[in-house]
Amino acid sequence: MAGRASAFSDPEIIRLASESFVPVTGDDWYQRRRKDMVGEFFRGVARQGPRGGTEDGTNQGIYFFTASGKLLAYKNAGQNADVMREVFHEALERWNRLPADERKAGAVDVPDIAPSDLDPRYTRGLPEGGLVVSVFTRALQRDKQGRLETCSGDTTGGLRGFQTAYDHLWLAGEEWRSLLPSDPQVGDSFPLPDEIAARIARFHLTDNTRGEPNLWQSHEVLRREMTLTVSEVTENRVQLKLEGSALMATDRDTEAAKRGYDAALLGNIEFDRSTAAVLRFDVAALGDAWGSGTYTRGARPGRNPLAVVFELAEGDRPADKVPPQAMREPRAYFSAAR
Amino acid sequence: MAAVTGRRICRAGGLPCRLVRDGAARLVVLSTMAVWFTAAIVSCGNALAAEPLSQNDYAVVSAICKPGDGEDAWASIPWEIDLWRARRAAAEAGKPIVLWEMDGHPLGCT
Repeated sequence: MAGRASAFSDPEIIRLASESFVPVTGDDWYQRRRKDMVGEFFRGVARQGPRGGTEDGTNQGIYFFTASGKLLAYKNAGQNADVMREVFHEALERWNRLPADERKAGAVDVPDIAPSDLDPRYTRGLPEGGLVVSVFTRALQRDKQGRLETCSGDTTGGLRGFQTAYDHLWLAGEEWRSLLPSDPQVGDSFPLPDEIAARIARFHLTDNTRGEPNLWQSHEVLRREMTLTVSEVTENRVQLKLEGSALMATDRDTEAAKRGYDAALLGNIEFDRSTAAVLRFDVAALGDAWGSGTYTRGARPGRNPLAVVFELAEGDRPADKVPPQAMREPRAYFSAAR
Repeated sequence: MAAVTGRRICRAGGLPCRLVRDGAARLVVLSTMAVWFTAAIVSCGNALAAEPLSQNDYAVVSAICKPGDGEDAWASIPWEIDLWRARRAAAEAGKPIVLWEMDGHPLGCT
């Protein structure tokens, strides 16, 4: 997370990564486990570094290597831009010292991989006709007048935790299409389908601002009320207003709960009636969050504002295809209400 | 809390409106109401209840929750998310690869 704000926001590193390298990202949870050519290739690279390329421990870090799999340089994290800049240059120097025949375009023959040859246990894809909604989460604070504002580093103990955190909400085709009433009339109101509401509450109203969050178990969702109301109908468009609230906590006694989030939701979902396409999915959640998670220590003391914003993904960038964090357990993700 | 898409439900108390025409649908709606009332009773046990979001809060939150100018400079890097595709691109272009590998996706939840 911190690497986003430091190393990979450094202008020279951005230039080097974009122009001198082919930049790629990966979730080690999948990559180190997958039993296919991709996993074998990655572990082969990682075995040359200090992480060792094992399947049972993390291999995270920043790797520089050739298309043939030869490791050029490695750094465990990208918090320090000065250090990372040096590693980039070191990797380039080692690359340039390789024989020209190894470096030239087309020197390495990379075979095709059929989708059927990918390890399905660690390969995720949006369901056919599915919808991708970007999810942004941010720790906020109130100024002396009570107005919401972004946090400064001082209030969250440094860089960690005050940046926007990212995730995606996936809705299957039949799920998002079920939101559009067949005969919409302004004022009609109905509950957000249970599965979608549960998915939002359990897997997306989470505090991931300091890293991988604990996802909510079903029994930790103490309240979940989300209602859609038809707010506008024209010949071409239908707009639904989403209102609701959700309370998630690690204990039914919310005063005693070590971790929780008590949020209200408001937003609009707009459809094109002729194509039944979603034109807008603008929803915001705001409420008080508290407590640290297994991998997200360093929460602010007490209960503090946390915002989550949902917005239709652009859809054409590789980043838009990154699966939701909770899709590590796809059956649970698509049956959140059970 | 089953989906009742396309059927009109009055807002007060979730009571079914006249558009619920057949017996089977009535059964679905009554079951749904039972779940709602149960949920409402359960909800009463919780002291917390977030204030409803005002339009103003909604606008503010929508504006400041997402990254501000310059906060997502890292996203301007043309990151690939498929290692094999990156490997092929590197081979074709004669370039080395930089892989940012994290527990949790660097472009997602990490």
